[in-house]
Amino acid sequence: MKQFILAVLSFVAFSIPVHAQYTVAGKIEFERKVNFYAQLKEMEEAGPNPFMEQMKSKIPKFSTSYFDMIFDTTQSIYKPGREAEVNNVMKMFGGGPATANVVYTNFKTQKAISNKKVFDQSFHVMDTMRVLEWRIKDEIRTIANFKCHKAVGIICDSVYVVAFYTEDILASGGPEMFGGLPGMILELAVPRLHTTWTATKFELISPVATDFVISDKGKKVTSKELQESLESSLKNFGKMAQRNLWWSAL
Amino acid sequence: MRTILLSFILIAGFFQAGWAQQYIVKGYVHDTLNYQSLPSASVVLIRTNDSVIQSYTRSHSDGSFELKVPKQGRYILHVTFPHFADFQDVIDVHDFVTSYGTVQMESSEHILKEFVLKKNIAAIKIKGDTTEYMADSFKVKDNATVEDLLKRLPGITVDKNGSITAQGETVQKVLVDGEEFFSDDPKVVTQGLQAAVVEKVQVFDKKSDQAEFTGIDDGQKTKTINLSLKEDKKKGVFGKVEAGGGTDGYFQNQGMINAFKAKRQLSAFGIMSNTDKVGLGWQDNNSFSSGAGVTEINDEGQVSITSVGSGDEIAGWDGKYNGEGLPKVWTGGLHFADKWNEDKQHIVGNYRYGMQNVEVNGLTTTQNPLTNDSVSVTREKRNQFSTGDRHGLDGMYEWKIDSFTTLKVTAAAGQKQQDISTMYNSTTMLQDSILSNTNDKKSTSTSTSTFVNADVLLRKKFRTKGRSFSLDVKENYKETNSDGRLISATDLYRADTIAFVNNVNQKKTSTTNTLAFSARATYTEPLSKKTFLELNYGLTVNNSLAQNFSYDTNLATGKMDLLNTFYSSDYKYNIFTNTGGIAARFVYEKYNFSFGSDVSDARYNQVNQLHGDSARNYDYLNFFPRATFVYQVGRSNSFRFNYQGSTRQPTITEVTPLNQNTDPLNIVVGNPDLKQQFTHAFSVRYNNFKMLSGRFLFASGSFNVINDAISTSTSNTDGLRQTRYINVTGNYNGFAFFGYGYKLKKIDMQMGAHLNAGINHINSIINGKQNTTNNNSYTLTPTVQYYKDKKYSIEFNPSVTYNDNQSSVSQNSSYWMSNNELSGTVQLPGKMEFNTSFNWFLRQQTELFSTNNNVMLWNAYLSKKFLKKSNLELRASVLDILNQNIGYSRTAQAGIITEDAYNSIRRYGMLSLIWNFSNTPGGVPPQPGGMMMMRR
Repeated sequence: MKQFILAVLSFVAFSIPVHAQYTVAGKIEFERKVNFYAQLKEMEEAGPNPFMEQMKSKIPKFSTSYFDMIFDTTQSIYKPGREAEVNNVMKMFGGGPATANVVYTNFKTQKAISNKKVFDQSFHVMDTMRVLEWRIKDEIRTIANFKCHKAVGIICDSVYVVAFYTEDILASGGPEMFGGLPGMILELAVPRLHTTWTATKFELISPVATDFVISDKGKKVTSKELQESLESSLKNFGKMAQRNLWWSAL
Repeated sequence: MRTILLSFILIAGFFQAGWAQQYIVKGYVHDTLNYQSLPSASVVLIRTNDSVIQSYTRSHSDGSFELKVPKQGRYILHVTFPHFADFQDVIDVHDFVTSYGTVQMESSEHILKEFVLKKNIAAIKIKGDTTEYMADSFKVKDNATVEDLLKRLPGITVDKNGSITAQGETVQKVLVDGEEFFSDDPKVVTQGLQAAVVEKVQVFDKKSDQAEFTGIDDGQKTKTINLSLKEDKKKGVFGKVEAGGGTDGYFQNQGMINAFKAKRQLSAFGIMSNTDKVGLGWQDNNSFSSGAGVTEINDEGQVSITSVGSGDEIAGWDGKYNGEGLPKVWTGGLHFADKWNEDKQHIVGNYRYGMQNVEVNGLTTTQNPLTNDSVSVTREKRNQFSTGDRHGLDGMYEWKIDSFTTLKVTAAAGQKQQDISTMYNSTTMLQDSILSNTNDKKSTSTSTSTFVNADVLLRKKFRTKGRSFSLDVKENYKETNSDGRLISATDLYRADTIAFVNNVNQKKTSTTNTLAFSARATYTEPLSKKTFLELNYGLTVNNSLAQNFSYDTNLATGKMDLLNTFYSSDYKYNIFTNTGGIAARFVYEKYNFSFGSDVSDARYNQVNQLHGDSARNYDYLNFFPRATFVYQVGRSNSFRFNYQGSTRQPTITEVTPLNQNTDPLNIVVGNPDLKQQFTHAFSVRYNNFKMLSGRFLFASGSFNVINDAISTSTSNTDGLRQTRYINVTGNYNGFAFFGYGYKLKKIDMQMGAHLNAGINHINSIINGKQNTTNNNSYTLTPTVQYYKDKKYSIEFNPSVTYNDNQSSVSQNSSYWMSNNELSGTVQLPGKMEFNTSFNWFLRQQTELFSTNNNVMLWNAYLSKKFLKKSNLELRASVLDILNQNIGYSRTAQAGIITEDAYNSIRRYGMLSLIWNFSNTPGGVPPQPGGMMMMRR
């Protein structure tokens, strides 16, 4: 905690001077929260499902996990961070979707390389950076002392994504494969998955080359191939398939 | 710094090159006050028609920028620079190069307006930083939305776009019951929710989550509105009604209704049936009892769900009859549950009543080995009728005293009454041709049993992860009284003439009662982040009484009141048990293991009240060592090894000689010199499955070695069997299972096979000779499933079993059995569904079991669903179309081979109407959805 306050303070001290400075490199910790109750609620068929109520009484409302994002102006890497202190609910479902995702983005070559684990299968996804049509909104939020603008995008034809990005960070990155905004995404919400990513900690560090190393293990596919392969594997899983497709498309 | 900046600008340029590049917008970014160029300012072009970001860049070190857009048209030029006001202007792009000129940026000065709430009427409360509006105090029209309500609240304004301003500041978050309603926009909430369901509107400055957690105010605040919903709007009714009438007098009716209001639930159900539907089944039972089961989640995130029994002794988990014969039931129940004080207090109550009649006609064939290497075969017919009813009452109260401490009190009480009347008729033949004995027996009894159980559980966790304490105190009381009559006539033959006659006509009464108290304390302590120590100590006091009295006819009075002391017994027991244990657990990311042992000291005190013998004392020291090793990678690959050692002390009937004549041909003699047996149980399990390819592999095995096994010594003379319990060495048994399956992706077919194997090696003594039996069985079940979503599904599971029974003194009996199941469902147009299933049971006939017991069980139904939500179903079904069904079992153990065939429900047709209803206004809307999270 102390470290965090220190980091924030040093950042504030650093960023306030009259000649405004931009942040060119650093490390952001994202806190990912999955609203477990809301997910359970979606499963309720009619009226209150007693098993769900039981579950609710035993588990925290949010399943929290942490991800680190290290970036400079040419590249960024997003990977699992520290363990959550509280009991991670998703753990009992095998860690939950996208908890082990690693995404490397190179802004120079426009390449995005990611390692995604879907159920028990590891994929090594190589593709170009995803281009989304980001719709800009008036709303402004301050996140980790950065002033952020709101933008709304759509993935998988119909899944809304809400992003708050700051122009004070030069890299156009964000959690998972999100990016392509005029700055860094510090808060991201995918309402359909009841999930948010919020920057809770920022450190000014100078990344070294080894920070950006991504393993090339896993089945080598493009994003499109991944989606197609999952669609065929999960075609009899109904609504569950849809959700897993969204998770793997993040 | 500079070089990084420069390279970024280069990249940004490169990035833009990826787009079509016909039209260029150029300009400069300047600070108006100091006339300095502003480098790295963010410059964005936004399409005016849909607000989509078309293109963005950063200004160069001299403040210049250049953007490329693919199309002509109107764009918003948006420029930002830290500590300067955002700049925004609309530009028209029609030339190939549009020069905007200089963007003049102004340093921003933020003026905070202070808002003072002047009025303080009753409808508005101010609690600290929160302003609370009571929604009902502000009149809105029927079906008004929350937005309409907000417009009426003083201090809140809503503009034509739906943006909300509270106390002069833009509201950024709208919460519903403290939850962030996930949507792009607060508008979605305020326009989509009915004003009538809102109880309070709270306006406050939400501190950042970090500040809330640490208590250190970081000054980040978000103007927030919380809509607190009315509890009574979370209400509704749902349930199910099923009415079915069939041929041959068959009926099956079920009703269930659940009404809930906020956290309070009241449910009722009733079943009337003479089919195999005798209970609610786990799904219905679950919604009925609001899952009063216990869900536990441990530190490793594993979930265990213990569901409460349905309370129906005769019903299996699926609500179907699991006993012999033909059942007829009338059963019903009430359930109440409520939670209050932020769910800290939880109460559940249940009442159940059941009445059932069961009619059984059966034939049991038993082969017993004899002294002279030959066998005796007994065929016994039985006709039984039982009728009874039961009342059950149970309740649970849980109090979460604080976030670390929970107190749970459960109590249950019940009463059961049953009348059973059975006629037995048996004949025993020697070598299948010589008549040995015949027996005719009629046994009737009326019994009443009552039980009262209570359990108080206190659990406390501590701030240190892994430290916990629990104390469990239990009380159990059970009393059974029965009153009956035994009339039995046994004729023993020698060379086809009656050599001996044994007639019994006695009144039998019995009373058993047990009162037990136990307490157990468990404490876990983390020795490190990976190591945990568990200590437990418990004691049990058990006082019980077992009285069995037989009365003969008093020739003087003609009444049946003459106590037969030989066939009567009256024992009082006092058992005091002390148990203590210690275990260590090591938890690592991929594996964990634990080991430890419990030691228990049991002291028996037995008083023979009838014969006035001096009290006997038995002391047993029992050990329960255990060890577990689990290796888990992800969720799809796991290996588990388990060892458990346990002592079993002899039961009272094994130790104490009780004279019985209820089965005059089968006499059991106690053995006071019996020692405890000790079982070493080893088990392994390996699971591996691949979700995406549909491949799975399960393997498991167990092996038990029993030292000083409590076995039997039997002797057969003249058709009379006497059994005595003895300790033997060398007994063991084992079980293995292997399952493999995969999916043929192209045609979407799931294929697989299971292999089961069981071995059982038992030493015993038969007619004074050492007898070693090996009862082994092997089953192979291939499975094929073909499934097409919403069209059809077909499943084929042929299964074949080989039973190999070898005995060193008696005849061997080995046979094949097979069960082939084929079922399919087709979805027809017009919400119709057709299902049919075949179960072909083949039971190999042997010399001994020469009756044909093969059955082809064929069922089918056709159903049609009605209404918009398909919640009304009409179903026509025929069960056992070929009218062949029988109940059947064949077992072999310790040289004795038994076959049992009994009556079972046969062919009937039924027409039923099933209606699932649900009415949940305002509160919890019914949402369709699968178990997706659970599988994930």
